[in-house]
Amino acid sequence: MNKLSTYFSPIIALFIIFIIWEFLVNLFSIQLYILPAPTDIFLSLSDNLRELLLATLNTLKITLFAFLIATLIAIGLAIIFSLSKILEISLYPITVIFQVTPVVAIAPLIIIWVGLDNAEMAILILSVIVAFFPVLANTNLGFRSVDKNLKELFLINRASKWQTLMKLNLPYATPYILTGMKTSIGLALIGTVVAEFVAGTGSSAGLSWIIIESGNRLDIAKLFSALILLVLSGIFLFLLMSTIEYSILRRWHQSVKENES
Amino acid sequence: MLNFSNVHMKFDKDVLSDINLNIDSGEFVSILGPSGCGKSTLLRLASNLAKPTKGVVDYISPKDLSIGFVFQNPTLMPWRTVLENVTLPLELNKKKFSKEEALMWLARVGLKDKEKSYPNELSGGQMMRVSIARSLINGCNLLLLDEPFAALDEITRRKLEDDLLEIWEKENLTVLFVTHSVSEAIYLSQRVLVLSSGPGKIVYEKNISQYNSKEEFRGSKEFQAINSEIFEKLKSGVNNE
Ligand SMILES: Nc1ncnc2c1ncn2[C@@H]1O[C@H](COP(=O)(O)OP(=O)(O)OP(=O)(O)O)[C@@H](O)[C@H]1O
Ligand SMILES: [Mg+2]
Repeated sequence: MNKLSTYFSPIIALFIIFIIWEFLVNLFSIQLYILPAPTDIFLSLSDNLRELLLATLNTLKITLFAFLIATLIAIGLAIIFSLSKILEISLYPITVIFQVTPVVAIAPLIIIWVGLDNAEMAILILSVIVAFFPVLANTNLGFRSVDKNLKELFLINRASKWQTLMKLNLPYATPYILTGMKTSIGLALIGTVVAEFVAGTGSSAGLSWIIIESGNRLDIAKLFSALILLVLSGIFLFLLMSTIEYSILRRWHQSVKENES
Repeated sequence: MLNFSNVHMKFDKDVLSDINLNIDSGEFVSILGPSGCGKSTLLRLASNLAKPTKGVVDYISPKDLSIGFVFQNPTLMPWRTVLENVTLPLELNKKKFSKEEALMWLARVGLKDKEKSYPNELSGGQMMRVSIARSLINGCNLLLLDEPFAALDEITRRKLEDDLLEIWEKENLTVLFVTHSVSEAIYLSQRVLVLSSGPGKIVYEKNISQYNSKEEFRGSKEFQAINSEIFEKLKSGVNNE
């Protein structure tokens, strides 16, 4: 397989699916409010482009912001856990509670706490809660996996805790952290969208609101355009993280080296 | 320099038992023994990385002690270039960052042109040489080496052996050298220790008289005699198991 075909095969496949879809919708004259044909969706997309793009940007903004905060909190917690065993065994189980509780279940609570007029803040917090755990778990794993001999090398050279953290633990855990971040960035988007749904009208700026609203009005073509933008956002975020990962690990890490050759 | 008295080491089973050993400042001592007999463990005890289950390991002047350790595997940091790996001990000891010094040591181990490479771009033997350069850059006085030359070809190996001897003399190091090669041990050191396995004990100790020319020594009858003598002891040490 060459590079070109790995990029173009899915696009061509998608294109063929669209053609079949278009053909079937026309053949059975399916109503617009049940399943619009791809051409209807693209028409709606271009008609509502400004509104849709603004909503996308808004959702992306909160997602990225939440992702950054989640990453910082997670790495910070992992560092604290690596320094103090007692804090780790007392706090780690509590973070698991956040992880296993569905975001819709805690959303109303958070929204009430930060105030209905503060919907964006509530969405941000919910998204952070959804996104931080994979980074925490992976960073933690990275810190634990640090090569025993390297640790001993630092001990022999009388490295301080700070030096060991900055020059050994964090660099060693970098591939792990990046893996966590790749999972987290997708979760941050899901968290944001779900939180927007629960927050409802108050937030009215993100993609979820467009999906709710056009669903209510049976404007399925617009609903589909919002969905497409949501999917594209997800792909964009994933590619963004993959690019960052690649540029950081390019020179030294096996996972990237092997993909190259 | 370094003293082991009645040292025992136990993991799941006894690994080392009844080790009494005194190493003088400036001495070059080699340790031979079958695989798994506890040679690496002995070095870790010598560097205070591990505490003995019984007995004590102490140093004559712990304050001035600075240890260089060459691990059995290269133990490089994959995210750093060769040069940055070598300068690590300087960074950790907050010494002035000296690129020249690092390059000098790299040249000495024959890796001058590799300074910008990453460890995963090196061969096993090259990685080991980086590790050796790193252990020497900090100006240690106790140098512990765990089979440092095992992955090298004969020519490089002999060159590095001679380099090590030169550095040892010039820098007045105390060296504890673990190897599987009997002739390497005899060639390099002033004293050879043979460990038996299960549990590791010092079963034999041999002082090597020093020739003016090491090359001459390697060819001598005496060298051959010591070689076969130690080989016999090693064999009987293995049979102890
Ligand atoms: N951290 C540890 N925990 C448990 N057992 C250990 C540990 N380190 C070493 N051992 C055991 O101690 C014994 C001696 O190990 P050591 O690494 O010192 O052997 P060695 O003489 O260096 O062998 P080789 O020549 O193969 O390197 C082995 O049986 C090993 O399984
Ligand atoms: Mg060993």
